[in-house]
Amino acid sequence: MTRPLGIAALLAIGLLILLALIGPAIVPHDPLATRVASGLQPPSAVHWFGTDQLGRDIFSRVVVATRLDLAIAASAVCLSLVTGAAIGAACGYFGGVLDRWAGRVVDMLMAFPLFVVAMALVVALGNSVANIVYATAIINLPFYIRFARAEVAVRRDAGYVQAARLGGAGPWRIVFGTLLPNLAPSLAVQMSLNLGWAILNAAGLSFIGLGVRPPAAEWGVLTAEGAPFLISGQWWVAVFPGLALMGAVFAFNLAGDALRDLLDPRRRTT
Amino acid sequence: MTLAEVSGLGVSFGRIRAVDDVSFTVAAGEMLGLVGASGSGKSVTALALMGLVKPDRGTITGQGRRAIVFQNARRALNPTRTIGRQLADVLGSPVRVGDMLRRVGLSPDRADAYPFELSGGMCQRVMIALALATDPALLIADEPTTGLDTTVQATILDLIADLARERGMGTILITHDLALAAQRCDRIALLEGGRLVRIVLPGDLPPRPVASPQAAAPGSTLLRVDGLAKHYGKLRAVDGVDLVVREGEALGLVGESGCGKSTLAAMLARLIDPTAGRIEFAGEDIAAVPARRAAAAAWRGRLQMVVQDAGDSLDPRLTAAEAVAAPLRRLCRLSGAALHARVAELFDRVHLPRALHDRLPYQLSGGQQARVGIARALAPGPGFVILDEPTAALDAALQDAIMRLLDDLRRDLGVAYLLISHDLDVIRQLCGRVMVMQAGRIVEAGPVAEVFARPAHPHTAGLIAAIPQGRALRP
Repeated sequence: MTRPLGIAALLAIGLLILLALIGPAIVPHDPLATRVASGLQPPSAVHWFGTDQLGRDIFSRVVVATRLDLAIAASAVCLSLVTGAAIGAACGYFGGVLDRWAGRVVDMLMAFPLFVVAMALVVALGNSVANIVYATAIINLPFYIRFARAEVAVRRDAGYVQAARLGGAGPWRIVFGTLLPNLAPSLAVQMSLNLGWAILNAAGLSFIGLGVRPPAAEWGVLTAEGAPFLISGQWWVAVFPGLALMGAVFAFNLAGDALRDLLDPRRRTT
Repeated sequence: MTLAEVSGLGVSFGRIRAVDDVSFTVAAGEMLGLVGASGSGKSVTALALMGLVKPDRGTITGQGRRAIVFQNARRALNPTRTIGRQLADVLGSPVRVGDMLRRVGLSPDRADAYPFELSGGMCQRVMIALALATDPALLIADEPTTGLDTTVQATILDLIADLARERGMGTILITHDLALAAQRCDRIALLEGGRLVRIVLPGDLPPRPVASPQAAAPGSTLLRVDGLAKHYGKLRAVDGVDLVVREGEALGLVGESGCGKSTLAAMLARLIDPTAGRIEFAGEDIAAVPARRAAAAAWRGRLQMVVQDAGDSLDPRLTAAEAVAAPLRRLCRLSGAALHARVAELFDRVHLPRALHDRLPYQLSGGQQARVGIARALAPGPGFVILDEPTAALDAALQDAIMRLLDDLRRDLGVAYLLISHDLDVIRQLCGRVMVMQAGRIVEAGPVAEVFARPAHPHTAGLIAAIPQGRALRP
């Protein structure tokens, strides 16, 4: 089975990870060095993506931003995956009071537009990169809780779970040793689809001035800085960081879809 | 009149030869049996007859319309439409729906029911009505009674036979159960590995060898149950059961699906908590420990169960050896070389080649999965094993092999069994004593030979009358 889109997406993700690792070492210019004399120059052989109003090289800034964007999204998603899957699995297996309370909290979270929740959280917790991670993790949490809860509830009395009980496995061992590992493939799909969304969310918060602040390079910040210049014709300042953001989100979503096609049909139909 | 003539039929899927050079004819008013193990090409032959798969060799000729009744009727019906509408779709108008339902023994006011509101037997009747709606000359019934109770099986097959007689229809009955085919069919085509072995008359088959269940040597009492009950709200799934299992004996438990036998088994295995009653195992009241803490109880390893449906009972992530090793690690604290040796010994015990150690469940056949399940239950060296429908999902030849294995293991290891089945034949071959369960209660109990020869309770008599009688399984 060949999936050209999925393979392209995987290659793009590989490139993003590579840039995140070695980006700052290979960029042609110092991303923070200002030279006001050569500000707002259009793309050229020297400055591939042009320069901003302070004369900083936009290509270098876009490449360097990869690390921060991926780090925020990945840590947020990992955080919500681990806590969400654990809470959801426990709810699905034990039910009862725990399940009712967790269910209500999740419903409450979902009742608000999630981006607004994230904004409120960052404002309340304090304007820092760490808090962007926590906010993004918290608004992702409901999806993992619901997913793990439903899947565990379905499998709670499956034959192999009963067999594990007969084999002397206690409830916690069954949840974390038998049930959750069986959900791992589906959780991986969920995670990959979620990464794109998390990147967008983190960039969105930065765009409106929360979390990452200038002069640090981050795609949302870069796009926000470039926005005023769109009207006066200096399109490159905002467009290139925007394209990077779009490409990254695209790549993670496509990879997630490809992964789901690969793993899910077999799990659903048999 | 010949309704269908199949000659030299061959069907391949890629490089797999599903059907290879099969020839037979079906005449009007005749019932032809198509019998073979799973994978012998029975269903593919049926699909070819219906034009649902394309044969790559051979011809199928014949007159009149053909209709098919699939196995697992509930799944073949559309769950979101009432059965009346589904019938009307085929008939072209809702006018004759009630009439068709009456013909298959359903009340016409069932037309508004959805498939999930009907029992398995009723769904099968609806499937038959759907097939008859096209007014076929030839009806193909593909394992029409798989998954149904023995009593329901008999009524469904009676219905098909009656309808065929009434309308002069030809019928092809596809089944893995040779005894059933011998009882019902005029001629039987035996298939093996996609090839036609031969066509026989039911009279040619040798009678089934009479099994001789040894009288249980009266050991001391191992398990004593008093007044055990499980209520779910108003439903009394198990309603006051008393029973005794002696050391080393095989006790059978029969009853139709829904009579509470699996609930009883789950309580005895301490997977669920009873509403009331006492379970005394080797002198200890094991019902006193709640089910969620049973995993840590000292008797966990001595009281085991082989979970119904071997395929579903194996963790898809664990290899065969890991599945057997898990209880040994936790209950017997084995590790390293000792663990490895014990797993290998258990594999030998259940006649599994050691080459299968590292296979994942989906890489094992149904019979191999069943053997892994048995090895896993025997791993901690139990004195009492509950077997919940150990052969339900297997075809006839495999059933036989598994039953012989279970019988040998009981003699060699001295374990006691509680064998749960809706198949009286399985009980007859394996057990010394039998209990009959109906609606949550034990209605009759005694030595197998006595209960079967002189059933005291009408329900028992009904179950016995429904068994296909007196033919050997092997051609």
